[in-house]
Amino acid sequence: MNNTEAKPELILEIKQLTKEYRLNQQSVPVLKGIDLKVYRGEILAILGQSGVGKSTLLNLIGLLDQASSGHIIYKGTNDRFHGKDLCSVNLKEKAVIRNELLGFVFQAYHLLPDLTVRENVLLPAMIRYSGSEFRSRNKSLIEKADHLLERVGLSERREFPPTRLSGGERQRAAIARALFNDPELVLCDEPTGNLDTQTGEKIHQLMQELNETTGASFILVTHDENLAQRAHRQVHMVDGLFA
Amino acid sequence: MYQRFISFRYLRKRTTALLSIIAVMFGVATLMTVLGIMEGYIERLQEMIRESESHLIIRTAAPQGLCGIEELRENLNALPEVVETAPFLEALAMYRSGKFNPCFLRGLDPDAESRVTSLPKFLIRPQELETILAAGEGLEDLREFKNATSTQALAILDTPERTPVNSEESVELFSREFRKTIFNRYNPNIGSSFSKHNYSAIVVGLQFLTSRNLELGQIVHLLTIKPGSQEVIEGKFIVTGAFKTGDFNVDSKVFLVHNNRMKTLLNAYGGPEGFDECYDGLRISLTDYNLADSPELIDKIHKTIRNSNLDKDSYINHHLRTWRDSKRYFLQAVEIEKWIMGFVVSLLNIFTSCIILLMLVLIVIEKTRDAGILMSLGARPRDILMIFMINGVTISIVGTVLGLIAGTIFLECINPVHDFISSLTGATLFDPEVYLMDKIPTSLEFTTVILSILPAIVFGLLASLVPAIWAARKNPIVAIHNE
Repeated sequence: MNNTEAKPELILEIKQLTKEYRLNQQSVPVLKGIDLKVYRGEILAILGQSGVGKSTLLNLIGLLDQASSGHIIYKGTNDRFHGKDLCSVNLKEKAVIRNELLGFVFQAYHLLPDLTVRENVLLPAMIRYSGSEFRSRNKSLIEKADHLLERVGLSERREFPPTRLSGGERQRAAIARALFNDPELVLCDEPTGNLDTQTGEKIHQLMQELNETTGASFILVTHDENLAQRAHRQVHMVDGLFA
Repeated sequence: MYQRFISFRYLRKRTTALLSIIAVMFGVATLMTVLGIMEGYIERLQEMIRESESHLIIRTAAPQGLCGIEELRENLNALPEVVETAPFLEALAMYRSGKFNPCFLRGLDPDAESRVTSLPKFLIRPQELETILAAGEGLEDLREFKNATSTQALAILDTPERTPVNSEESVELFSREFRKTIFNRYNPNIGSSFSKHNYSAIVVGLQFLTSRNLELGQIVHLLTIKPGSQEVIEGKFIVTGAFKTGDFNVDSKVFLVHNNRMKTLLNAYGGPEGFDECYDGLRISLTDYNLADSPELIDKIHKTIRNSNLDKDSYINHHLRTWRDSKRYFLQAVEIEKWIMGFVVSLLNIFTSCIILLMLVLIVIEKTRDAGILMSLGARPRDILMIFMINGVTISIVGTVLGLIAGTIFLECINPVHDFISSLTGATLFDPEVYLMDKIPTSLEFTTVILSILPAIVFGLLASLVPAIWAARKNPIVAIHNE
């Protein structure tokens, strides 16, 4: 990210975000007022020990969970949601945002085992477009899927079921899927957590490469200091707050 | 679109889905078969009543109480709704064939009867009868003889190409010349006595001949009671032919006799003064049997009876019955039985729906994480609901369609299947003596199809809805981390 030369473009602004869970009729605060800015094209690493609230923060940014209070203001290029507080959008809009503006990469890859690798990569487009629209774009979408798979080094295995891939290959397929709808922000929850060091390194290199070529921002939740060092920016979480 | 795509992928290669489809198929096919047979039984029963009893019958309370019907017949025949009328006589009798057996004598005018009932369809031509009986030639065992002749009868008489006998042929069966021919052929040793005894013709139900109670050309002694007295009357008859209605009760109990012979046997001549001939009743055939239920036509016929020169007692004591009245309670009982059986078999569909429910619950448990992943990729809860609904609906629809095909094939082939099982096991599953019909009747109406598939579709939808809602309401974070 060339943040030293030009003023970085903000895509997400998080203000005083809190999250509390109820446990045995008692309130357990997990996030205690997070403030964070995410810029276009950066790789932001969120570091911290287990249980400090890293994944909770990622789930709130990914609109998979509802914040107790605070705001997540979208400042990206999508006119429909620009300036909106994503914490207050309805369920339908949240689904659209997850599909069109966000990408997810999970620690356990989370590919659908009944679909082939290529079909898994195409899933975001299947959800985005209606039946007729998908059919009319079918050729270009398949080309795009194949191109992405080629970029992540899986073009030979596109017709394989995910169960026949190694851990590293599955994660590469998951990254290709996350990038299919050209999201502005990719949320990665311990993407190398299930991989050996060497494979994890390769995955990280791939994400860096894709970050540079696609321009998408990456938020990387990890407890691996070495991987985090390679991010453009790191933030440390301690007990529900940034240190 | 993608919901269907993913849903089909979930069903592919899944044995439980295949088993659920088979269960639904059996449920639908069973319900369809039960309703089809019951509907066919009711329809065939109604058809048999109409064919043998005509559409309307005028009767009197007293035997041979309908006197002076000539003018009435003319007036009735003039009505546009009436095709023809035929007077008849009836009597209970005993016939001797080794021992005395009961039978029912039905006196008729073959010409008029042919136009009122389906007598031409039922009467068997002499050549046809010979072929039927020849099939059992040389077979000593009664069971084998019965099987061979009955099978031959079905092959000859139950073909669509067969034309009914015409009026002349039916009259011929009762004629003196034909009686004499039959007598001389089958009783060569006493050939000279025909002129002396002048045996009258009886045409018997085919069951008499296939069960060897009587034989073609046999001289039959009949005993009956003279109406209005306790005097026993004896008559000698010769079996000149046979008929087959398909109603076991009729085919094994009824003798057809010419009205003229019945009159002399029962001394039916000489009614009240001025009325020469008396009958037990008058059969009326209508242009459409549904008209028998029309109050306007019934009123019209009552008026016609009133305006005809009928004997006063006959007029006072007469009553008009429709074809439905003759077995009203039986028909109602069968109809009720049909619905009860339909309801009981519908419970089978509830059972199959439970299988769908269990299978979908298993799929939802197994695919919970998929639901979470899809939601993270932008799927809405209703999309998740759709995926699992499509699973259940697909199983219901595929199972229902296969059930429809299986049910239709089974209904079409039920009689050959029955015969095959009977020939293997020796057991008669559909006994004509119990069910009154010589083959299993079936009917496949549009309503039967709808009633067969409706429970499977409705219960299948309900069974799909519950797990689908359960899946759609899952928290995406919990779902994604589900192990």
